[in-house]
Amino acid sequence: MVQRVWSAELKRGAIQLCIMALLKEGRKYGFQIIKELRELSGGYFDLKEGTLYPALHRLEKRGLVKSEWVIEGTAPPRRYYKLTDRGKSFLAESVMEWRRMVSATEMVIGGDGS
Amino acid sequence: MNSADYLRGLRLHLLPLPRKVREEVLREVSSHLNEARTRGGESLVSETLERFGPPSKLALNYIRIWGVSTTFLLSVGALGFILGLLSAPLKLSFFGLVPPPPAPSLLYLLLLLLLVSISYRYGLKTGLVMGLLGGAGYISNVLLTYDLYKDWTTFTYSDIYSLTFNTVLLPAAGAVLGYLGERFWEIDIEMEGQV
Repeated sequence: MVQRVWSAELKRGAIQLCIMALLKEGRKYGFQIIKELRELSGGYFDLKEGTLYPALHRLEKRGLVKSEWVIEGTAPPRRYYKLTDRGKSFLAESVMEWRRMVSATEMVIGGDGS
Repeated sequence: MNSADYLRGLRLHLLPLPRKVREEVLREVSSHLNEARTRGGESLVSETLERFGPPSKLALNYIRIWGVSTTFLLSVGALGFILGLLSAPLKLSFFGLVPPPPAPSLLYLLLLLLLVSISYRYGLKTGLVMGLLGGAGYISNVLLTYDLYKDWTTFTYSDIYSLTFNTVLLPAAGAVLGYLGERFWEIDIEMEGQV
């Protein structure tokens, strides 16, 4: 139980970063984000819809992403999200902070994690 | 539950949201379900509904991000005002709505229960509005009573004490519970079982 909660807490911070990193490549819609996140993480991040959409709305409210509805061919209308300029700066800073944190943690726990 | 039932339930739970946000959320969820149907048929739709989680929980996540609409605030405030007005244990007990003091009014208990539930669920602003208007209802009862009797001497010390206590208690309880609710909200990413 403790392991599960702790793991969820770790993932929580990482997921926002991963969502924004995916959007750095260009605009994406919800279904696509879930699929790419799962594939790129080797199945580790299997984000649920009930988590992803509120997270995207929160990023939008903070001005880090913006959305637009797009109709392409016969596909149903999709809401695409993309990073704002503010989101791009925020992502760059967050990635640097993340790398510093991982590096520092590695130094403390050691290479084999024991 | 099929997608139509899910969307109906979600619409109901999203009612506190501003209309524009509510419609956007419904459109987005509906679009996602259509995408699932196109890619994997009804079995994928069922699986996707599971992954969205209960409509009430999903709606609450959105409400905690976008806040509640003015219409919702006014509705909750009006409910608080009416319950406050009818539940004050003063001289209007002949209406049959309020037992004579010192017995507690059932409507007052109902008001407190609603205040606890609503302010904790929807936050400080909602709790404060409901508490303030509940207190205003309470005061209005006093003014109405005075208008009927034209005699302040009918008020006892315990009436005044009760009036002061409750008109302070209701807004304070709404504000404190709403604040506590907001402190415990997990709006980044739901933790358990969602990742």
